[in-house]
Amino acid sequence: MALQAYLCVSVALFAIGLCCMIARRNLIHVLIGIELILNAAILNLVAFARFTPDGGDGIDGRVFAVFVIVIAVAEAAVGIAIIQQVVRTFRTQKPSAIDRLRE
Amino acid sequence: MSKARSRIAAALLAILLAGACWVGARFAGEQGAAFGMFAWLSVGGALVCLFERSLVRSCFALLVTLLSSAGLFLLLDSDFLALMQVLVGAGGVLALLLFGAMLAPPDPTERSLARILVALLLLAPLCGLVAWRCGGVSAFRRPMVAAKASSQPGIAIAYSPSRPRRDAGRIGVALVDPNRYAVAFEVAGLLLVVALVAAHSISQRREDAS
Repeated sequence: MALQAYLCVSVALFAIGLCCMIARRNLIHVLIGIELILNAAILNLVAFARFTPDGGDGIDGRVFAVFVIVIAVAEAAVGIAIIQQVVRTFRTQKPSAIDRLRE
Repeated sequence: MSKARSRIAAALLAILLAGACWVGARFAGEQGAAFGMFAWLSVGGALVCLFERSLVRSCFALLVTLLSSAGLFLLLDSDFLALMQVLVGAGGVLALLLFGAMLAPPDPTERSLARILVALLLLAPLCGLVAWRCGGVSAFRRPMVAAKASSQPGIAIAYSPSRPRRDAGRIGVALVDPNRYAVAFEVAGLLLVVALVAAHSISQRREDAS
């Protein structure tokens, strides 16, 4: 397959993830949207690493994809912890209902 | 959802999956068929994530997306990344999200179809622009070794079968090589430790303790 096919899949995933972030009113769905966007980024990195010319060894993009996976895990862990505290404090999961920094 | 409607939806999804495989096979052979299947599954899983009311069903649709993008990584000769995607993405992140789904009572009226459609309409020009700049559908028709690609600087579209297919060893060497990514690797490990300790301490904090 050509590089462009992977890029089209990636931009579709990115658009759906962004849509999930801005259109859903649920904090977990916002996190799911971020996961989709990071997945699109990883797909882009791996596709460009695969299709680099023979001069480079094509390993840089894959290493960066590993780092992006690490970022995704850290973000999910901290995000779930913050959501747990927000739900405990505000008794809701709507992002628009969360309008105070403290009690 | 009633039984008949879910059966119709499943049949429709299967037909669309077969159609994606057929289109891919038409343009690029076996590899194209696998690409069509994985691409359709990942985009379809993401769409189910977007439109599904139930949080648990959204999480399992995200599982489909993550696993099929692992399949796309396999097609891109990155078996180590496919493994990481299954282990970390599907195993870790999804378990975290399902745990988060248990935190609050679900709100079935939360999903607004109008809002989602407006957001999709706003984002459609982005997709169209990228697809148009990338050559769009004509890219699927292009043979794997494109003579035109060599004249374009930067991105080579040509498939080079001489490249080794296993990438785990090379990624490992690059990660511990001091001249390449050793420092970034250490920083990433530190970031993970900080994130885990932070997640623990945030979730341990009580209301009355503040």
